[in-house]
Amino acid sequence: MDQAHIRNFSIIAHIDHGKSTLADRMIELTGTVAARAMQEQLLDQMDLEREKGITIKAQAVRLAYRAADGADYELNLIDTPGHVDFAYEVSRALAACEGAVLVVDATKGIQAQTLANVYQALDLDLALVPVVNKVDMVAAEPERVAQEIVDVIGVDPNEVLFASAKSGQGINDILTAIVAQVPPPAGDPQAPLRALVFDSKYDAYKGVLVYVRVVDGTIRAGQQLRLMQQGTRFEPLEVGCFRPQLEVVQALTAGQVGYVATGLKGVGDSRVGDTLTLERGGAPEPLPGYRPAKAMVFAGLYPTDADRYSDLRDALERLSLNDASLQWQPESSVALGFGFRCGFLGLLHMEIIQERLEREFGVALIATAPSVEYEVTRTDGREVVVDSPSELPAPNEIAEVREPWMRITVTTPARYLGAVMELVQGRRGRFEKLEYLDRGGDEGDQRVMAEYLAPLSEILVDFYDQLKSRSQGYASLDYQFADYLPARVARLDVMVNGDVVDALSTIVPVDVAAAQGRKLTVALRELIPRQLFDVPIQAAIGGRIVARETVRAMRKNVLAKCYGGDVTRKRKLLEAQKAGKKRMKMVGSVEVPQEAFMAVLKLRE
Amino acid sequence: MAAPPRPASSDAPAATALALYLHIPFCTAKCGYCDFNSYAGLEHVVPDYTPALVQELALWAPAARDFRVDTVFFGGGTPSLSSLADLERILRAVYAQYTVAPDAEWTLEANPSELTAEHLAGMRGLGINRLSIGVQSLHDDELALLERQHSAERALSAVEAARAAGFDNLNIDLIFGLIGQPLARWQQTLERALAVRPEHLSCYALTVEPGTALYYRVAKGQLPEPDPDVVADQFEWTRDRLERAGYRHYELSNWALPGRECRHNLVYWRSDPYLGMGAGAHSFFAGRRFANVDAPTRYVEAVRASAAERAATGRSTLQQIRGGETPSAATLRADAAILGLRLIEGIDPHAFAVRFGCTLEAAFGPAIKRHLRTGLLERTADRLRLTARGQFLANEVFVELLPDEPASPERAYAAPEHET
Repeated sequence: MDQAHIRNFSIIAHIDHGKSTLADRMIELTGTVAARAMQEQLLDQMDLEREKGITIKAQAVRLAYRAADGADYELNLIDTPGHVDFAYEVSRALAACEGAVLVVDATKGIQAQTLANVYQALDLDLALVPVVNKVDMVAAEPERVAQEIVDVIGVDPNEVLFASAKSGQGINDILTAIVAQVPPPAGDPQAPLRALVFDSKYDAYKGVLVYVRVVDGTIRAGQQLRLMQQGTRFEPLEVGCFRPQLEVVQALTAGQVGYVATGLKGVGDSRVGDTLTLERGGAPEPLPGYRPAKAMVFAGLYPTDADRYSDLRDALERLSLNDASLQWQPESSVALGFGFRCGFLGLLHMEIIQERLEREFGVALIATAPSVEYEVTRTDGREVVVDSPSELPAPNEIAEVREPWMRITVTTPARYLGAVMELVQGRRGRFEKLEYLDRGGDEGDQRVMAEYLAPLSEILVDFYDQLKSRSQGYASLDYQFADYLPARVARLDVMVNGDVVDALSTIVPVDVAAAQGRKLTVALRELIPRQLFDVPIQAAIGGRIVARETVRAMRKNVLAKCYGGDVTRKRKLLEAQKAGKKRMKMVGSVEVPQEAFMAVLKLRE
Repeated sequence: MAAPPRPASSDAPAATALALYLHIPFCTAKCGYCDFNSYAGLEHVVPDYTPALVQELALWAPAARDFRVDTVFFGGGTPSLSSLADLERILRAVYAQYTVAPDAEWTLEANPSELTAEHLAGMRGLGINRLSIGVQSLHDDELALLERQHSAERALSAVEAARAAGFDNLNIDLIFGLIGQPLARWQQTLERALAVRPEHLSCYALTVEPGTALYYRVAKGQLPEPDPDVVADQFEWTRDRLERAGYRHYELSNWALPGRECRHNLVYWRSDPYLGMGAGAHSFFAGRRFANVDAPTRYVEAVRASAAERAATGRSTLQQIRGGETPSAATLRADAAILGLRLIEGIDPHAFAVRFGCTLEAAFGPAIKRHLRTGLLERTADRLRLTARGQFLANEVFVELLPDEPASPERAYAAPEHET
């Protein structure tokens, strides 16, 4: 394909604003996938994505498009996630494109997270194609939302398109605009090969697949290739593009998007952000890579069955190939044995990783309560970074602790501002500034963007849900790291049956530590099933007991009569009980269910 | 009504004992807690059902040729709904086709509502010698909660009428741990039951079974879940009270005056063979566990087909059986230990070793050791049994007796083959 006829673009949209549906319509309209093979959320290939109705992984697809003038174009669409936790996926996708379609819901307007992604796109000099979607909904206000896009982002009012991805209305206009407004890729097909690795995954037959955007030169199967940063050399098994399933092609040339099957089995051999070049006659300089993702949330992941430690390691290796933002290193716990300390971009990310490990790799897990990363200055002057409660030095060895604070941006109709303010202040947040997004009529309907500073540890749990519920779903949220600020924190330990269970320890603000301890012991009393003996549950701060509850010994666990000799059924009931016990973790002589280790997350409810 | 013919006495009685369970699935109404294979509103099936049961008895008779029937148990459903004519046909079929011990125990489950003097006299005359009466509670509000069709007063008068008709071996079924039932209310029920001095008492803790009306009421929050501590208090009190009243606690939920233990139920707990006939009935026979199809109409059709097959070919594939399993040796040992420990006397290690060719220690060593330590199990001179505390925590022990691999009935099962 002639380079002038290639367009590479992403879609930027907030969750539920219709991004995946728009992608489906484009795939349909261009005949990329036969109508009978079409299904909803076609690009969301993970079961998890379909179940949750969200995109987690960026996906690519090549569309063959014949424009109104009869010319043929190759459109490479890189679909991206919408949730704030996956901003990193978005930034990688955008770096492989020249343009982005900005989709805004005609019933909801611009959301905080969308704006953050738009700014990223503008930083990368991408051409924007603004689209107001869902214009056929009853509650749609297309003109007002279009004006909002013009006011906030500063696009030409005449460039805003109106569409309904659901009905297919306006899709052709969007494709036309992509061709007209997104520049063709600039690279030089004659120059030495440079291809940006923007994603990768493991395939059991083809080894590591790297997803690439070719910037200069050409890739063909059979050439000796080299990853410039990692230094890995290989001869690709095949080269192909996404239709959206893998389809082998002869070559990928400058400007094109596709994959290279490396045949490499070692998952440590390739890294997202690396530059692919030729072994002989390669490029002298790599492309600028990616800023590595910064993990914000840390938790221990342990196999429920200790024998599966090495399986968990393999699973993490494979998964981090597909998700470069996941960090992990071995750790051990007195209570849980050997496992891994993992860093995540946020709680949703953590939840997704846990579910993917359990589903895709079949490893049953126990996750410990998530923690943020603290900076600690010790009394001897040494600086340490602590992302696990067990690493927090003793109180008399701490000179100062600093915790991460986030800059939080909330967009909401003005009427909910009071409720949002109350929520943020309840989480130690501070108001920073307020901006009006539109000149709307009724004062309460006016959309505002408020900025706050708040500790990450306070917004980690339940903040997003609370924001949604207090604004009847209207408010949206974006946040990014602001600074490390001094904090007064202590470690809250939990003792079950007299033994400290390190996996249940948390770092909490000193002011609320005792209250937190009381709530936690009550929660654990409900979560830990009755055992054959009384089990005391205590919370302690620096060795001082602040709360105590008791799980009373079980007195009844017996089945009633054996119905007319149905022994098989009775045995099945017992087998179910046995399976239930197997899912629990033995901590000392106490059976503790998985949920107990996440109990601290439930305390706000 | 004439008594059915007695078997001719035999100098060489069949060696092995067999229990027969005969299921009568019909009820006038389905009780809110019941998840048995029972149906209200199927009266129109009754005329076909009795002949099918008689046919099934005939189908199994050749396989049971070498057995002596020691106990027969009519369970339900509501067997006391069966007409005397139907009962007589069934009893005649048993006597005609099977070797029956002269002192066989003939039990019939009954609801108080059907126990009229006439019906009782008829049943006694047919040779039914034990009644198990579903009293459940002696408080009318509790009976209403359970959706029972009788009053407390009716239940007591039914017991009196049974005595008057000559029944000298009665069981009363009672349920404790009723939702919201304080100890004192249960005490009243049990005391009133003791006043009529039944030979046998079955006292079950209420189980809220999935699929029952009661379950949905609890799930919807209309009723609280039973409080396990209150239930445990009631159980402990019951155990003490019945012991003082002269009843022997011989199985977790069963008490009897000396010598009045239910011989039929002992067959289950001792892992001895039994054949179940009728819709949904379960069997343990020739090393296999299997069950009939549940739905009465489908059962009737299947038995007819089996009988037709036998008429045509001389053999039958017993199409009324819906499935079952051939338990592995490990599963059979676990079943025997679990059922055996339900008996208060516990298991005889020597007899176990002789029967299974494997000592209790070899089969369950770590679990036994652990629960001797937790105090749920104890050894007596010649037995291994649950302790007083272990009786109400039996599942804690039982789950550890199960083989590591769960049994997979569907795969392991092959329909039993018998010359029929």
